[in-house]
Amino acid sequence: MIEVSHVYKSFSRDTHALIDISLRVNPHEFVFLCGPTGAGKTTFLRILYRAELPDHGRVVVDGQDLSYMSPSEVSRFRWQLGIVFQDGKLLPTRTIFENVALAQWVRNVPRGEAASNVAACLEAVGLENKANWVPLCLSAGEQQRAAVARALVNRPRLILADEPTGNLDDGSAAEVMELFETINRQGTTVLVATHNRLLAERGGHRVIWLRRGRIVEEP
Amino acid sequence: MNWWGSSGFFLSEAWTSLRREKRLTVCAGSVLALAFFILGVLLILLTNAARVVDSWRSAAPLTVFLVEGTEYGQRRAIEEFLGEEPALESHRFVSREEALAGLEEDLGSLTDLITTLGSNPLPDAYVATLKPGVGDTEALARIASSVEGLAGVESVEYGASWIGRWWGAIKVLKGSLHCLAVALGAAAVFIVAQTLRIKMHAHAHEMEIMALVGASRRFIWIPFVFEGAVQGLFASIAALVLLCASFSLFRAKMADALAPDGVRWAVSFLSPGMSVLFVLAGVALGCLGSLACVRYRMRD
Repeated sequence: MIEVSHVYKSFSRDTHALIDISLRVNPHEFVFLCGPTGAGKTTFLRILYRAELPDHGRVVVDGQDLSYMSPSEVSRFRWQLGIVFQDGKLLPTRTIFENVALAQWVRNVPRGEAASNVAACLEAVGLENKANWVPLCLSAGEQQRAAVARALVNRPRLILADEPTGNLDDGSAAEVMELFETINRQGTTVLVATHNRLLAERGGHRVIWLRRGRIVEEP
Repeated sequence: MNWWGSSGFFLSEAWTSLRREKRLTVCAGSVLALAFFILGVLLILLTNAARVVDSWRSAAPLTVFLVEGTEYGQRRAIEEFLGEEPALESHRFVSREEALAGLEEDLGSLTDLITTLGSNPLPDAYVATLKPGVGDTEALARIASSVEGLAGVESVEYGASWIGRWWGAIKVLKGSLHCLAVALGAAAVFIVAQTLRIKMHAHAHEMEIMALVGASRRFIWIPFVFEGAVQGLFASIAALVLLCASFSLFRAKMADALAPDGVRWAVSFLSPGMSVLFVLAGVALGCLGSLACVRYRMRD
């Protein structure tokens, strides 16, 4: 599902975010990318969803080489991904329904079909009763579940989550992680970046350790 | 792109943005409406001034005075010439008796002055009127010179000089209006573009979110174009309403200004068609401003 070979990324001459990263994530796998703040997890994920380009190296996601893509190809590529961010990144002026539906609207899914897909996803994350609420009226955990619903609505083959439990209490974090487990059991590949070692080691999934931009054997 | 399916979202985004930054929307909209208002004032002045001068010109007769004792054949030749001249709308023969009667009617209590002359001093004449839209003073001079060359014609009088001056003024006004229209249009585009630039800067986070969920550039910028169009629409409608109110208030003064000789001319507002064009121009300028801003922004 993900093939990364010899990826380097620098933001200045002295700031090396990623150094010679090579890894492979197989389809249907659940992988944690774990490391302290500043290890390069977010930069790595941004490269995977094509928000950044590596300085060197090759990145292939779901069979697509991300090196050469037009803006419209990048948009279409993102339709096939589900991305969850630490802060949820929900549109504050839109209802939860609209936030989730946005991922369908940008794909030109017919309104009726989009509405039923959104309803199903909101039900899956337990937010069916809060579809018409705006994000500010929800708790952090509920907002993150809404973000997961948005990531799921296009039925992606790969979900990338960047510190999805970073802003949540233990109970909410457990709920969100349980959602990812469920998604993964249904066949979706999941890559979760986290600084939380306990969270990463709890599920018995493969953990890739990242420190100062390099993959390391041990934390 | 499914425009029909997405248009509701685009309009809703545009409307939400307009409502969210009320102060900015009102400030930019007011300046835009003021620019459109000035444009509308110039448009009304121009259309009325052109119409009034045109009516003066077409009402101003070309008078062909005849030599006393002109023969029937000579009069026929003059009549044929005036009838075939394409710039003339109509002509009629005014006998010296008819002219005197008209003069007596005009002079009123001063009629005694004429009787002291003893005999009727006025000659027979043909009075011709010009077709509307003929403003070329050179054409008038040409007609006058041709008529003067005909046998039996003593002299020709026409209001070419003063009509020409007015027509020249209208031409200058027209040219100035075009320049002002371009300047005001550019100002309107600039206002919309700058307003949207500020809004885009404020909504950079939301634009990023949309891009991250797979929105194409077009999907992101179309709401801003809608917003520019809505802003242009409201500003031009506001300007039109303001114009209408101002026009009602100052109608009499405008009429006096356009007809200094005391003759009452019906000063008219923009025609319904012109009003619709005015609003559409506002929408177009709004779209243009937003497109200019979006193009600049999307290059980044």
